Amino acid sequence: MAMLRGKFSKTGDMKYISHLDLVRLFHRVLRRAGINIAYTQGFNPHPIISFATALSLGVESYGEYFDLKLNEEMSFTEFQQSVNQHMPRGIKILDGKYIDSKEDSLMSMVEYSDYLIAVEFIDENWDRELFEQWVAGFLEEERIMITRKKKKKRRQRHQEYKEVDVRPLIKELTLESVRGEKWSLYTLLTTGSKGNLKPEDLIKLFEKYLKNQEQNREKENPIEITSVEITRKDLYQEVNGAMKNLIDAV
Amino acid sequence: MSDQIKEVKIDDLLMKVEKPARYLGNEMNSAHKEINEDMVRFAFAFPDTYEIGMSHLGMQILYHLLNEQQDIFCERVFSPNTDMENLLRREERPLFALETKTPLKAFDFIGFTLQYELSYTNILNILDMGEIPLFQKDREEEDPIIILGGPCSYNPEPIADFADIIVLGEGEEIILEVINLYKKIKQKPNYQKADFLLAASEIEGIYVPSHFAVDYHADGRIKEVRSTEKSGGEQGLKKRIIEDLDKAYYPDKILVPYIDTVHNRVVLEIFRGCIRGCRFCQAGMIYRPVRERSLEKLQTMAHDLLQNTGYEEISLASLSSSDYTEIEALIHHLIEINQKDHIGVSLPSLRLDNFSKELIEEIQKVRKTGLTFAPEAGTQRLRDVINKNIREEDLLNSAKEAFEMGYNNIKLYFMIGLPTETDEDILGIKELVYKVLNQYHSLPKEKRAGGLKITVSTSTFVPKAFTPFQWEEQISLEEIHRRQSILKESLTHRSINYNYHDGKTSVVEGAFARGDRRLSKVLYKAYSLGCKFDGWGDHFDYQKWVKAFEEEDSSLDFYSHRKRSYDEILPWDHFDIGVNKSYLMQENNKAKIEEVTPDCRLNCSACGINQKFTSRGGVC
Ligand code: SF4
Repeated sequence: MAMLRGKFSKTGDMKYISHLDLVRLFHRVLRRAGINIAYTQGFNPHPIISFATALSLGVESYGEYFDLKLNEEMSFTEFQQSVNQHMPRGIKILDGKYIDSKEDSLMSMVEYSDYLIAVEFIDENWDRELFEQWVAGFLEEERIMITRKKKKKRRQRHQEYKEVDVRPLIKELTLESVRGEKWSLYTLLTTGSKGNLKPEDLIKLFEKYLKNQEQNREKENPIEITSVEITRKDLYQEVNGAMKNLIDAV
Repeated sequence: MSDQIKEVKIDDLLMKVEKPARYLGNEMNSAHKEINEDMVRFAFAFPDTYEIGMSHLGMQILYHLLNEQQDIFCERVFSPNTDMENLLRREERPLFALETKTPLKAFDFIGFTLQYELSYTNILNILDMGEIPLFQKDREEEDPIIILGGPCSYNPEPIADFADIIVLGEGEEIILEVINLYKKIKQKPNYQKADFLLAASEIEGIYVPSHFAVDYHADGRIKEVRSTEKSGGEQGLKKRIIEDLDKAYYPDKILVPYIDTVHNRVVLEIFRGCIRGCRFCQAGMIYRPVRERSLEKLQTMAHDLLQNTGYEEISLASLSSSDYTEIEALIHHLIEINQKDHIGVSLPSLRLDNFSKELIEEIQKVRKTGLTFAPEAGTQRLRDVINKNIREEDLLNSAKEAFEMGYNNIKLYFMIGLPTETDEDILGIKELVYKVLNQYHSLPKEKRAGGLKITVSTSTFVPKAFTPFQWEEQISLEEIHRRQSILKESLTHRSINYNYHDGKTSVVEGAFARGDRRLSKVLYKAYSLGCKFDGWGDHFDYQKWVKAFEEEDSSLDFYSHRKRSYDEILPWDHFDIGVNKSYLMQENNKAKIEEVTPDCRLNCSACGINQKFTSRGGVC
């Protein structure tokens, strides 16, 4: 038995494949590639493979991870080549190594993830400086509240909601580049069990903030984001104060 | 395909629809080709959702068959779901084929499969969204050729006005003949579609509806079906079969969808046809004779398909899997695969009379799913009428054995409205179900699994073309409701769950199953009124159908609820499916006197198929 940790990208059309469908896709591709995977015991045996954290539909990523148990160790390069050969375009194994099976699970390791968020606005005629001021202003907010669904208790009929301050979850937010009408933001967010903020939610909060600023400017056209493209760059664990991706961290 | 036609852009729509993976067209084993001028572009259209269409074996076979030809490129089209349809219509973008997003109107052929009468409005919707004139007579030279095939094409008359070509019978060989002919004829100077249609009509199994006209009596019955001046002869009107299934094309790979579909697994078609001869069953008549694949062939197929798809499950397909002569050997083989490679095995359509305990036990090792039995009728008398050779003891014994083995989930299928059915037969369903229930309770508690669930489903009998019951009437809507409520009131035990199909859909299905060409107008009217996805309870709108019949001066009564006499000319009488009309009459007569016909393996009843359609002659 050997535990292989792999890193892969999920881009292009594959961003439309849900997490559940992705898991099944992996099962099938691994079979096709003839990888000697280990199975769970019991009535409906299935491959022993786990993933880090689910990516939302429509988000591209260059930093997804899986842990896969093999009955027999094979060279990583060989693994990578045969699996990539059977993967649909858009999913590609980028990196990997064998790890001790006693390592923490991917899911419990993830602490941060970073994203590029490209947005387009209806009214895009602002200068860079003003935009950067807004980014800074947004980060200066004392609290940034978001409404979340509470976990439903058993037999409880109505959904309950709670307000959460997500400001502490935003580690970084900067304007990365401006290309034509596309404004690209870079952000590093807390992800995982210690707190979680999705980039989709971040951008909604930012939009709300912009609208408030806009009111002060008394312009005719309200600010409205017309398109958002999100790309996850990687997933990290903090090791001795440094951000390490989930392969380098072990 | 002309150069001006650009692919349809949908990138900006994908995030706005549910399950965008339906529209990607890049699944494992999908075909992608460099397009060139001489290529014949074929769009295989399935008039239902992606999830249903992708589970259809015939589509998988023809798709790969066509794409293995260098100069043919076959793509897929499904009915877009309502969210996608609304976006496309709002943005005025035409419907496209999945692989290249090419608009439908740019194809040489669009082939529709006719699986179910209630999917006909979806065919019109696909054509409409593809910006192709619906009626054949309105289409121009540059419009695609619309070709229909599949089980409902044995009576294609209600949809005939929309078709250029209809294929009768199994498609594997004939589709290539048609396309090769098209390639040849298209090269000729001054090519016209009519030349192709004329030449195609010479192919056995090809029906060109526009080459025929129908005359009617004053009372609405058919007087004559005659060929028109366009016709080139009538050689086509005979169904096609593949004689040797081992030699027939079967793909060694199939498309693997990203999202869950109805049958998301490897499907092995083990044989075609059925030995049984149930009198209501159209498949049992139109797919004759029985042709089995060899065990060796199936083993190779299973191996290749699993290898090339990575699927975790395999299932068998046929009308009655346990009738396969080598079923035990096949199941043992599948179980071996299961143990070695962790592949799940599912075995639908087992009959209960030859259902062996050992077989269940073998399957159970693999996966314990529910069991399904289809006694179809509640009393032995009625089962004799329909020639369902199942005895009560068989059902009760099988149920008992199943309960003993720890099954607690059993499904029972019945039909209501069968010819000669009385309230006694309806109550017979109730009695039979309670006897099954008692089998469970008669077992000592420690010998059975808790939580018994018996699901009883009834569908309404719909008389179909080319069956011994093709002359019979369908019971009225009121009568359907009355009989359903008898069962509703009597199947009240907490372990019993009673499901029934909406009688209204059965009535419309019944009209189209035995309709004639005049229904094309009704179909068009219903579509114009907004009917589509009629097979889906939440979409089906009976009032619109009633209105469509009224406005076209047509009548559901005439088509669904009318008994035909033996001497009436039926809309499908001009097709030859091998089974003789005299045999169907004989079976109908035997039904009336409750006399059963043994299955084909016990005794050939000389239905006629072996004389005309197999080189073997004699008994099948
Ligand atoms: S010819 Fe005889 S054996 Fe063959 S299908 Fe007909 S009845 Fe059955």
